[in-house]
Amino acid sequence: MIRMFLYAAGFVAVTLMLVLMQPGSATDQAAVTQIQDVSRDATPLTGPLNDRLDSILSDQVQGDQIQNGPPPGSRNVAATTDAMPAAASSQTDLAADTSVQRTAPQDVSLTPDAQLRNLTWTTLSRLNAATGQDAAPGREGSMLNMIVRRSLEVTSPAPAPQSVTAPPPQDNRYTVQPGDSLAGIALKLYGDVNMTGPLFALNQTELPRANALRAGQVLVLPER
Amino acid sequence: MIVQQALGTRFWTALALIIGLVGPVQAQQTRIDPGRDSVSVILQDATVTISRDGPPCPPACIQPMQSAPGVTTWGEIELIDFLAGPVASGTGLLVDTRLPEVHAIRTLPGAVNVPQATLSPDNPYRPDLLTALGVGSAGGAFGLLLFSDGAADPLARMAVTSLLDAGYPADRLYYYRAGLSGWMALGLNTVPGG
Repeated sequence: MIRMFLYAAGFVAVTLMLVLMQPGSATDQAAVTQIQDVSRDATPLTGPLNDRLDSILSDQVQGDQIQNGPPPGSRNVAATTDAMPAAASSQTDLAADTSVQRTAPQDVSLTPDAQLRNLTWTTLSRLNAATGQDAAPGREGSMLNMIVRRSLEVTSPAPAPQSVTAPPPQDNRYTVQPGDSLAGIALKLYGDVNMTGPLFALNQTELPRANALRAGQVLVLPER
Repeated sequence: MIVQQALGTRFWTALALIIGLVGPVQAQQTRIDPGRDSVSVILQDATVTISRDGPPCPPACIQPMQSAPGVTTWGEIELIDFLAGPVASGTGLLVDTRLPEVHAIRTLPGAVNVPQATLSPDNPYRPDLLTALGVGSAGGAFGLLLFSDGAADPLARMAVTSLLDAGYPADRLYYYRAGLSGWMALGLNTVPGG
């Protein structure tokens, strides 16, 4: 008699074990549903677009007037990787994307919004590379344009420079000074960093690559 | 002990066997789609039952053939023709809607990774993504052939719905329902995601 009970109990126990340890339950669900721990793209992004981004968002931009104030207190995200406000952090983000490996624990600290942002940027850069849409940096539709716009939105909710637009240059030439960058020149002469794109596009003979900017070069200035 | 003697040995044997045999079968049954566990149909004078064993639904529900009104569903031959035609000429994209980690392991040749989460309305950066896909541009939107892991993976269909809600033209969207698992089941090759 007792043996019957034990056999039944054994069957039930084995069944429960099989149910709980099914391969198709928890782990697949994690992969199918929402974002869990989105890690940075481990493969280095290559191509002309990234080279331009690296050069334009170089150290010189850090010193420019792009960072228009402290980041709003509401964006209290982890200070390590995803402090969005200034070009400094954009540069760090991009540098991280182009580095070979990123350890996972850093990504766990990102907020879901930051994870989604990084995921979107990675997707965007891949799309641009895949479609050959290497839009001139700064031009509408390029990654640089989007990054800078986002930075400006976060750092300066009420952009003051609107009322103090720099007057358009008198003649249409500008001599590059030491320490200048394309974005810095655009900001200085036009008060609008989006002019980086047209500036670069108009000087393709002088600047085969954006980081070929040298002091003493004479740039042709586009119309506003 | 009293209960045992009252009901007899055979009863308990039968009970033990029933628990042992029926239990495992019940445990793995899963839904066919969100509205149906199993389907019984009476044909002539016989009852036909369709049931399913597998990963739990939701989320792994079987997707219908048509992902959304106006969006065409394609098979492998159409996908290959699409790759050779519009994708090669720069007017189309083969889109893997799975997460980057999974895409990096294995994906269809020529696929780009646009995770479904980036297309959802929750993503505040979605407009930039749509611009990159050509929405609102002079050249027109790219033709997108979306796929995910298989016919039981909802990601591709969710991406189609999100794109339609965002204003993507339905005649520029295509759905490869069989997904990666269907592709591999036919013996076609895969590549690591880039």
